[in-house]
Amino acid sequence: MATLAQREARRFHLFVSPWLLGFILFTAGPIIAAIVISFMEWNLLKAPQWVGLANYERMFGDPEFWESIENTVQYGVGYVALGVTFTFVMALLLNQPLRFQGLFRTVMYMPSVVSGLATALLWLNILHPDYGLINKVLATVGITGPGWLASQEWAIPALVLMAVWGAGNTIVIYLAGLQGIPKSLYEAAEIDGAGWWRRFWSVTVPMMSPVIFFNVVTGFIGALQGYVLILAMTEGGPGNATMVLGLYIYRHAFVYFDMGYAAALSWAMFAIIIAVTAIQFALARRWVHYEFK
Amino acid sequence: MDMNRRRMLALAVAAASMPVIAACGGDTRQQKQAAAPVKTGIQTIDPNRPGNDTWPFEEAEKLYNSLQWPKSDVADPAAKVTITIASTSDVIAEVRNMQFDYFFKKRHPNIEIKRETSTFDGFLTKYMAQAAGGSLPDVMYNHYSWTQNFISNNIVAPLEDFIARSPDFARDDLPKAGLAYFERGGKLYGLPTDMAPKLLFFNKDIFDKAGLKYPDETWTFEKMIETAKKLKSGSGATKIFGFSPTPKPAPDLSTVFLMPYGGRFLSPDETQVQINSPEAVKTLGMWLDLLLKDGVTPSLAEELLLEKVDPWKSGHAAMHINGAWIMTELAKQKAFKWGATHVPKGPQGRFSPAVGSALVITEASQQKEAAWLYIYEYLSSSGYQFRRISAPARQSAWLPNAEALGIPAETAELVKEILADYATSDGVLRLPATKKAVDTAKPIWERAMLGKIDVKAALDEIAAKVGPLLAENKIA
Repeated sequence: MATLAQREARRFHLFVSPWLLGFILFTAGPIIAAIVISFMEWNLLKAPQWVGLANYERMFGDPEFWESIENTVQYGVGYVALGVTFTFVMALLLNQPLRFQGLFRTVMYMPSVVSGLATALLWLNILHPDYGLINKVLATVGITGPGWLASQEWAIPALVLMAVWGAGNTIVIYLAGLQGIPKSLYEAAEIDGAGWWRRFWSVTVPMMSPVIFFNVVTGFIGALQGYVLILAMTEGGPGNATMVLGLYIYRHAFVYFDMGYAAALSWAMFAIIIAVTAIQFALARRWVHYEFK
Repeated sequence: MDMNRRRMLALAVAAASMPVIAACGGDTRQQKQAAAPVKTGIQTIDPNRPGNDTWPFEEAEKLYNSLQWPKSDVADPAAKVTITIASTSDVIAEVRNMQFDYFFKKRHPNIEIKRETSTFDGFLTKYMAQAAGGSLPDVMYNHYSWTQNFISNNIVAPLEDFIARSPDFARDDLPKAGLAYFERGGKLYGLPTDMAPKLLFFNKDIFDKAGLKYPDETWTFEKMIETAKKLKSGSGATKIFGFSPTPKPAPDLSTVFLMPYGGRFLSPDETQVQINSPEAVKTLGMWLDLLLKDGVTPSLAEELLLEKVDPWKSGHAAMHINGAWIMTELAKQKAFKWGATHVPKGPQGRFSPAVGSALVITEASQQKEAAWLYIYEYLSSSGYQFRRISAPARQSAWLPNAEALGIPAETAELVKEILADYATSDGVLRLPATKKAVDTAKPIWERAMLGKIDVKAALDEIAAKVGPLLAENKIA
């Protein structure tokens, strides 16, 4: 007869097996397959052919690949810098004990639940150089707005602006973090004579640093992988100005059906994400404060 | 976060309402056929008597019975078989297809039809994946630029044997130029679902307001450009473009815009780039001047939004070159009066691309004979007349369909004349590197449209970058 420990172990394996099976079939399997495919030439219609490192050699010599990396980094840095700052400020404001606080929070979260394509259509109109809301508002104060999505210089900033608008999830995470800061810390700081800025800088920011770090890491990963809205709005244009790596991979995989090269590009993206995340973790030791270690 | 019940409820209500708001801007999804009555957008369709307000069942039955259906020596299956048909469609056309399938099954009781519909944008991805998985349908839609790749990879079956056994096939009823996309080595691999040349469309209201004569067959591109300059007016939301859109690298750029001046995007065998030849540079320079110096065609910024609200369709463009298939929509709209004529000519003559799509039978199909019987009838003259499409590949269906759709008879005659006289597939890109060549050229051309690079430099850069991609076009 099985012991209690054995029965528990059996139940554990039974309950965890659906997830494990799903992980092996739909995540680990494709990841391993992508490694193998990256060493092959495969157009989906013919049997794959082994080409060794040819796809990787092609990638390093492909100017559009480097261009897409540059665009991706610009978008990622812009999104994280503006997104983290803006959402943090919004969370601070939404954390104030005001009337209609719940309504404000709901309104700020709403963009996150709007479908992606509806967002794209909305922002295509808002950012339109001639008829768009932003340029119309700028015109009222005598500023000629830029071409936004039609301008090679302003297309990435425009996409960053749009992405930040839909960052309600990040605000929710910040709000949860803000409400987890013990009130006693603020009271102690106040007794010590700290003003609002000192309380913010010496209590709120250090206590929130793990949350900020989380949002920076996940924000960067999301920004480096993102391409769907860019595909819907600019298709990588004008003049490849918004051709980010995710879109470049999508194009090679599902437009040109160049699966081997797309797999090699995907591994490049994976390497970049790992490298950026590793750097962030290394730097985190200097500024992220964990209350309990 | 401290969230009480009231706040939670507020958030839940907001979240629940968003899909409704979002649905207003969403796309129209295809509805699959089912045994039980299905909803197609608005109305419930009864599979035993398919029809709706647009396509009443009684009308369909009457029309079907009035048409002569072609005969074939290809035998019906002795036992029940099911064929899968994968097509691009919209909800409205799908009802007509259901009706066709209903009557077809009455004539061929042993053939069951399973229909799969996908949007055009997702079609190729879906079926390429299915090809990799070895599960292609029996009959499949093919855009003209896909078939040669499928032929070279043995994905589609030749139709010659079936054609030989079908005395009513009437090959002469199909425009020869339009079949080239689906032919290889003297064999035909696809039957066209539609086929039309491009025409010069014009907004009569804008011409009347300016007191100018409508375009006619004597027009040259120079005459069209000079007139376009005169017709440009206004700014912002009230702007009228003389011509729309600005020409750009596209599969039929050569045929419409370059060949009249002796230029080409790619060589006829699509293995060399010729877009930086003096003829092409001069021609595209003329169009770039029209955009950058005269503002007669939409700029990149203007096209950004206008892509969603076509200036021609919204009455903001005086002239427009497009396929004859847009006539169905034009015939229905009342916003402006329109006309159509031959595309203008250049020093080397007049060219119009005959383009269309096809249905193919896949090589992997186990029911090729049943599949043939289906496409043979569906794409016969009677099949086109039953489906009432505006650009039938069968020439005998043009006039009856034009009459049924409210397209002026003279315009339908014009289309038939163009298809018979000078419509061509020459210059229309169709080999495997087409998409890569166009996508590579497009961002470079966009920089030229933004005025960041001159026309010669842009076309030289396109030639340098597109050239190496054309190795893919050396297919067997």
